[in-house]
Amino acid sequence: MIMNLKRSLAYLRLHVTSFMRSKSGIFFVVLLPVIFMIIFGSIFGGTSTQKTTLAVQDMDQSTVSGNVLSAINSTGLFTVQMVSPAQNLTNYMVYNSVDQGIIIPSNFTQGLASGKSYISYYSNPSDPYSQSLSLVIQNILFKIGSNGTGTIYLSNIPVAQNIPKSVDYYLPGLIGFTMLNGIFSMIYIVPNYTEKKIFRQLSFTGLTKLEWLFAVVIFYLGITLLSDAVLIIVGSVFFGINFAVSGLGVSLIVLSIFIGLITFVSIGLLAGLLTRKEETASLIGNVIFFPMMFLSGVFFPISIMPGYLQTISSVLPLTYFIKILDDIMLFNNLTLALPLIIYMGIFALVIFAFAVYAAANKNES
Amino acid sequence: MEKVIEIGNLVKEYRGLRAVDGIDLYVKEGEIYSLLGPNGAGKTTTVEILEGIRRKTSGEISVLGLDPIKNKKDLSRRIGILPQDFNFMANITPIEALKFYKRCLGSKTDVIQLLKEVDLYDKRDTPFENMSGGQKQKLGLAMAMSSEPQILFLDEPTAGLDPFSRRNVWSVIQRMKETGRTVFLTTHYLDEAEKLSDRVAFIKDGKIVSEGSPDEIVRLNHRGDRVILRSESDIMSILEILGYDVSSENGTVQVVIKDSTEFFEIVDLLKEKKIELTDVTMKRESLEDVFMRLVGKVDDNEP
Ligand SMILES: Nc1ncnc2c1ncn2[C@@H]1O[C@H](COP(=O)(O)OP(=O)(O)OP(=O)(O)O)[C@@H](O)[C@H]1O
Ligand SMILES: [Mg+2]
Repeated sequence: MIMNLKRSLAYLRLHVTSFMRSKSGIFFVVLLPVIFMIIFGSIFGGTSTQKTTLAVQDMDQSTVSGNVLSAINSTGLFTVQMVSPAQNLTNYMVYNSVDQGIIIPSNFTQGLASGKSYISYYSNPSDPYSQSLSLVIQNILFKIGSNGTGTIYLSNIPVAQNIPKSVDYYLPGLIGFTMLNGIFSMIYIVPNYTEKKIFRQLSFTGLTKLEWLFAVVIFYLGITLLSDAVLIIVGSVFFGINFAVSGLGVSLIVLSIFIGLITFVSIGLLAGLLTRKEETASLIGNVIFFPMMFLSGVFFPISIMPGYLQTISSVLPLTYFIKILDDIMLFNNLTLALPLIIYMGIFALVIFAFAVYAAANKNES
Repeated sequence: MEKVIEIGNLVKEYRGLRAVDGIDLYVKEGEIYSLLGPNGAGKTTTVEILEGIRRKTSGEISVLGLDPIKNKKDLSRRIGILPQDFNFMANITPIEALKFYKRCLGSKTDVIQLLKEVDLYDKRDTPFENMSGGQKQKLGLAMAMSSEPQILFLDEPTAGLDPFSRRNVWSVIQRMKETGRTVFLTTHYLDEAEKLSDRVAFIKDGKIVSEGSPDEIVRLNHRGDRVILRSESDIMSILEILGYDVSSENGTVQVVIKDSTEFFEIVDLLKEKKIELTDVTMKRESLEDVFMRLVGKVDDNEP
């Protein structure tokens, strides 16, 4: 028996009691995500009828590129403006105040035939629609690419009907954001408990680090699901969010959040073990927290970032959790999400084991 | 009676400092055993090695026949620990803390009874951070007792308590002994060690300088009782010339004597020399005198 569930639950109970008495905890867990929801909802909500101008430069002039264009048209989100291949697209966008544009390169069909092709997406990062629109186009391209050349499958792209309001596109990011609670609280708790010798006192009951950490993960799972439920309810009631996910999808979301919390609580524990003082803890917390918040696609699409930021983004675990949530919630594409869930699950177990090991071997004088 | 704690040539080094320097001792079942020594003597180090919190550098230890580190889990139900700087989660109340202990340890302790026993029943719903130092200490004691352990390790259980609370804790400790439990405690306080312990060890610079029951220690280290004299005349030099072991303290002159006949000899002698004495008393050597002589210092903050 590697762990005693009874002790773990006894601690969970104590932790919940302690949490319920601290008002700031409730603020961060429930109120903060809702405040974000309200901000995003107010900015992006209820404006779905408005169309965005999309400048398109089709260098390929092929059937496939034609398919892409009609797929984009059929979303009903864009007013497409064709730009002649001779012109410079960015100049055109600047002169005509167009915030979004794509270039279909001349080797597009050819590339696709050999399995790899690309389209450049130009957008004004300050345009609040950029993220959602890039996601729409990404999804169209994914469908066309996976179907191979010469076949037209555009009539049944679910994205086309499923694009309700832009605020929907922020929901996966906001849910990802709520998972970071795990990191933040741990970075505070761990040095505090170490310094005040509370871990030592807890160990007198036979409670192991594994049992402690397990209880904490379960605690944050509950808290995060709670704040995500609040998020979805507030979003649906006040901002017309369309949360249309199947039962299986919801289970996969819960599973991903669970895996995410194992990951983030473990990262938080490791960071907390590195710090002795609570002040340094909050510094380290910010160093971990802010890049995750801004570079994982919570607020800005990764695709519009410069290359070096994309590299940072690609090593942040939150990036992948948001990708999973995007796949499930926006594209209803569970087969795309599943392998990533498995990879992240393995990653979570490795880092969890490492964190338990590091915690158990600290402070043995 | 069975030996429940055994220590043989225990050494603990912290980067060059020998905090425990070859200690040998044993504690029998049902005994109250005290480690008495000044700050930095190595008391906490020794007791925490027994509790499995710290690793020894070398030597032999056994607690209930087990190795405290290897058998930590087994022992957690059988020993109770009150650490020196006891602390707990800031917003948890005594009743919640004790229930948590009870659940983890699977014990049948009556939590309410335990709270009453350490005189904390009135504070049962007060968050830890709002309790006074002494109340916290009592909660720590209750937590240590909540597994109904065979051995209680108490590291300075009455440090910082008012005289009333100290007596309260003493009676809890004595009751633990009455129920057949063994108590291993460390303290700075002589009166505490003298009152509670079956056996005491004086520890200084990581070494045991004397060990035994309080009476035994006094007997073993007996240097004789003393006559305390007060006089206007210079009796100090007179007695010194006659070869007595004399010292002066607070305006009195103290003479070490072997027995009571020597007491009368001195008084007669001074009477013969027509020296007037304003005060004459005899003082038996106490554990404190022996301790002061062997260990050399006690803390200023004694109550
Ligand atoms: N973790 C540690 N690292 C280095 N030195 C230590 C450590 N713990 C204790 N010491 C040193 O070991 C010596 C013995 O310390 P210990 O805490 O055992 O004394 P003590 O008898 O309990 O004193 P007190 O009455 O003040 O509690 C001291 O000189 C102390 O500075
Ligand atoms: Mg100590």
